[in-house]
Amino acid sequence: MPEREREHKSIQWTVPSSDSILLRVWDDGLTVVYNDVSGDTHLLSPVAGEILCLLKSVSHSSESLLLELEEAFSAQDKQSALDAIETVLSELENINLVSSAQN
Amino acid sequence: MKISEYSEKQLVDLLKRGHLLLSLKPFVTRVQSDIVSIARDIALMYGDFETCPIDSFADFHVSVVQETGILGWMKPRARFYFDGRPSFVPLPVDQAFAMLEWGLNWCIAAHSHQYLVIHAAVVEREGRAAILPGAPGAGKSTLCAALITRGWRLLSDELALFDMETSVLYGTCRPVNLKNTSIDIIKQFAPQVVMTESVADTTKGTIALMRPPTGSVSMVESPAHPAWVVLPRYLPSAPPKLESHSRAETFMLIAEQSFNYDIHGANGFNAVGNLIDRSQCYEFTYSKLEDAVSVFDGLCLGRIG
Repeated sequence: MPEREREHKSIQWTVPSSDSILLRVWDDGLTVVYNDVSGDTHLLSPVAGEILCLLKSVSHSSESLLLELEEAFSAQDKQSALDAIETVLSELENINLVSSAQN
Repeated sequence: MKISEYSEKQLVDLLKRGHLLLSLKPFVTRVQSDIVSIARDIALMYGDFETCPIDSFADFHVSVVQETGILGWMKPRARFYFDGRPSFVPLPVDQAFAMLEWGLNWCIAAHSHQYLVIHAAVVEREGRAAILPGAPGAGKSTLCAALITRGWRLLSDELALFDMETSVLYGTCRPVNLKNTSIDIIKQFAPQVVMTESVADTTKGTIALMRPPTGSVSMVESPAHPAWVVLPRYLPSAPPKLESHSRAETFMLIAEQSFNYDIHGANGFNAVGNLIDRSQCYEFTYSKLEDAVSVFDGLCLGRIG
């Protein structure tokens, strides 16, 4: 298995204090999220909102997120879809909504 | 007893002694001032408002007092006091009434945490409220002033008080702040409105206050249910255009424009969410008030949205 693919599978993403995360999603898919730990409110793209929703209930690797979000990334090849998901995860990590751990 | 039932002399006397308790439902404000023009403007703008007995509880104790000393004599200035402490920089004495209004806005915005206090105008019709947030210059006060001369009820031109438990809106129905060209635009649009003298060279330019309609004042205790959030934008010569606006983006704007959103934490988040859930959200570009009134009437009649 190539190293990059191993990484996709071995890193698990999670919402560290999921009870402290409140979400609202409306028709256009844009999501607002409140983090009761930091007191911050964020506006998220539809994909970021969906990823956060998934991670709120159970931890995922980027590979397993891609399986869940297949429809949203159907127009892209697997690698660029994984890259896009990891960009979103890294943005969510930067604003302290998700964290990662090696399996 | 209503303000209109006092003579000017009685008002001057009450103000001098700090015995004027103005009922700005849901608040009571004790006002003290030695500036005669404030008595005149209170009579002109707050005629329909009730006063409270001297021994009533007051939420806010405010004074607007002329500064003394040589500097005060050469260049008369007024200062706003809250609970006996000077607040804000002194301003020329001809801005004393505007200063009282701005100071009252601050009192409410900074202390009324039983509500989510949103920086927005609110008007109501048939129990449903249109919330008009917007940056200064977006035209919210002008639009609000026009609508309340054409059948809409004024809740506030500046501060929407959202009850987070019941998800309804209140306002104190105080005078509408008009600035610069808006003053003449409203005078032409509705010649019957009562305004204070215009005051030039304030930090907001030339300003005048418009008396709230009697019918709106008499209904100040009736809440309104959020139905529309409309982001107004005045654009010279533009045809009226009402477009749907993303609810999530409107949420962020309302949160940003709320003075105490951060204080309320998760309750504030849920409150703004509940307000947005109950509202159709729009962006509205306009240049003519007649067009704007037609669009808002269309919203109310369900012809739009």
